[in-house]
Amino acid sequence: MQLVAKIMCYAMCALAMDLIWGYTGILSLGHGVFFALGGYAMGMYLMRQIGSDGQYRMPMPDFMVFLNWKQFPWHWALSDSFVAQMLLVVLAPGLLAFVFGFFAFRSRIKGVYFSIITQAMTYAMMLLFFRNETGFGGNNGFTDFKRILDVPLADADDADAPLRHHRLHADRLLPDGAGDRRQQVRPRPAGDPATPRAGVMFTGYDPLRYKLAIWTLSAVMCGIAGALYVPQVGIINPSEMTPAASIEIAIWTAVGGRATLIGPIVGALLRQRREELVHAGASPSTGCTRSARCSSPSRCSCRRASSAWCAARTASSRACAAAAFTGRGERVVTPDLMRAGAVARRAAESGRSPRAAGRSGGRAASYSRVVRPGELDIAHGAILYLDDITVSFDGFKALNALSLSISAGEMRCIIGPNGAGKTTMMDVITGKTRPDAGKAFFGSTIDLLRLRENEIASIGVGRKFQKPTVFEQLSVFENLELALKADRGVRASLFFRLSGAQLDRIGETLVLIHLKEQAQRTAGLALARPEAVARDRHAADPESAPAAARRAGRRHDRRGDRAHRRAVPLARRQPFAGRSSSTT
Amino acid sequence: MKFIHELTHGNPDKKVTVLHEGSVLAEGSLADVQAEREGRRGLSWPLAAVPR
Repeated sequence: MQLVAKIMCYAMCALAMDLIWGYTGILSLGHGVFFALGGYAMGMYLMRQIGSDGQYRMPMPDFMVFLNWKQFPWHWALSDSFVAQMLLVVLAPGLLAFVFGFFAFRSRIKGVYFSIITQAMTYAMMLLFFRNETGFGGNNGFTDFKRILDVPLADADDADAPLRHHRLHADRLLPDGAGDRRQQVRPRPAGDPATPRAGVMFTGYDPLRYKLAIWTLSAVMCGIAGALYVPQVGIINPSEMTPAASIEIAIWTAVGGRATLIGPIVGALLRQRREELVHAGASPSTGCTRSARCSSPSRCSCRRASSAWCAARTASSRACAAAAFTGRGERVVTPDLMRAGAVARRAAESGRSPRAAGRSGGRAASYSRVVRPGELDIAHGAILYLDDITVSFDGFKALNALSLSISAGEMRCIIGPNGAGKTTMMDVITGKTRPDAGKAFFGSTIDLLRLRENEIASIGVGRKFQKPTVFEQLSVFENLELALKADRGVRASLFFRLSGAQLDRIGETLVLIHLKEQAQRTAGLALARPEAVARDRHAADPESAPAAARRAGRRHDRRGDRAHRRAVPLARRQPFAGRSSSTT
Repeated sequence: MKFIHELTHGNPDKKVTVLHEGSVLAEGSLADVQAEREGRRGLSWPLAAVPR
């Protein structure tokens, strides 16, 4: 029973790793810290529960008596409160992860660099907890626990005692037969329609918020796992914070398979089995797998294991998919005024509707009208305005006092040879590159140079890259869900529900792109079909679309381009004679 | 280029901007750009071969 409990603690820890690594690709090599922090928070309470039953028969923990402490340090003030310590189990790893993640993600530290600094954090915390002055027992940590909530902790020989104790209490509290009925409760099957449907958007998400939320959640899961683990093994010490311990958690996940729910569990079970075999072949003194008094838990198999938490699989995978892209979860919705403004402008230019002149997006435009901050104002006709934009890279001027004005509803083709600055111009417009000088406005009032990529995407400036950037692991339908207009907040995304209008919109799009029959297939597989590739290449390389569509036996059209009169700057690198060509 | 021609042919509202060394070299309809000498020089490819 105790072994199962420990494996479940391992599973929580490995699932936490799988959540952050498997689903978001952020490899943390510091989850041992969060595990240990949760364990230490629980250990503090367990140490206070010892009372005067320690070796020194003093009300203070033995190590404090040994170190001649006269009173508890400040962070032990609430350690005799179970509720307070349980809050600390969540808050300590959560707060550390939040602060660490905020600065790391804000600085856009990622990949192996993030892994390295998590190792550095682990090592620093381990050194800190090794010090006796911190009040965490130094090298020995906390051990010799006696009871929890006044219930004696299990001995190695009687691991089921607490369970029996609680079962007795539960039977007293429940009416007759309730214990039997509890077994009749069936878990909700996967795919139940009542399950909240989570959704994420492809654009406009703030990766900082999503990464931070997932990272913190993962740390809290680890902390809870550590808190549950400590009463099982009866000890917590800084060895849980060794860099190797954190790496080990990642190995469990890697062995079982990332981005799966069962994978980390399998990996941890395999590791557990391997450890048992190793200990069985070693001397009996090292076979401490089932020992609740293991003196070196970090060296034996009673460590954490794999993952088994999956209720929020869909939500987490979508949220993590969004976290991999730019965006911010503010309630900024792409303005619908663009299309109306473009129609009004064309009508004004054609002279068919004189009244349309001086109107912006169907609103009366005048000098006295106050434009709200963040509102798109195209009263002056231009929806995109670049003025004297200069960008230099190590002395090379990629953009040299570039000025450009694009009207609402206009499609502008930007062409030029290699190095002309097409991509750099797109980077400036979408916030990827900050210019050395110049101005860039969306409408008359929105300064693009003051916004981040996700904020620019949120206000309606989209960008199509040369290479298709669909989420291949998600279905075609889910990819279209990500492209819907909606609140990009973390919570809103996790509890997102499709409305009827949005469902219709997705349906129309599926018909338009000829992928209606492939809606539920993963995007990677759907795009591998020849006719789908034609559409895909239409997006990436529109020049090839007519021929590809003819090959697929379909009429090539650009309804998607014509249906929505948006301002569309197209950048295209032109082929040189005798040189290779490509599209931007 | 054929793609640009398909997009802009017969529609003067659809403009073409030619960038060269980080600046706007020419701007206007495709026909205007094709007719513009500087535009041709900047593009460095035979615009005359493109059907009008």
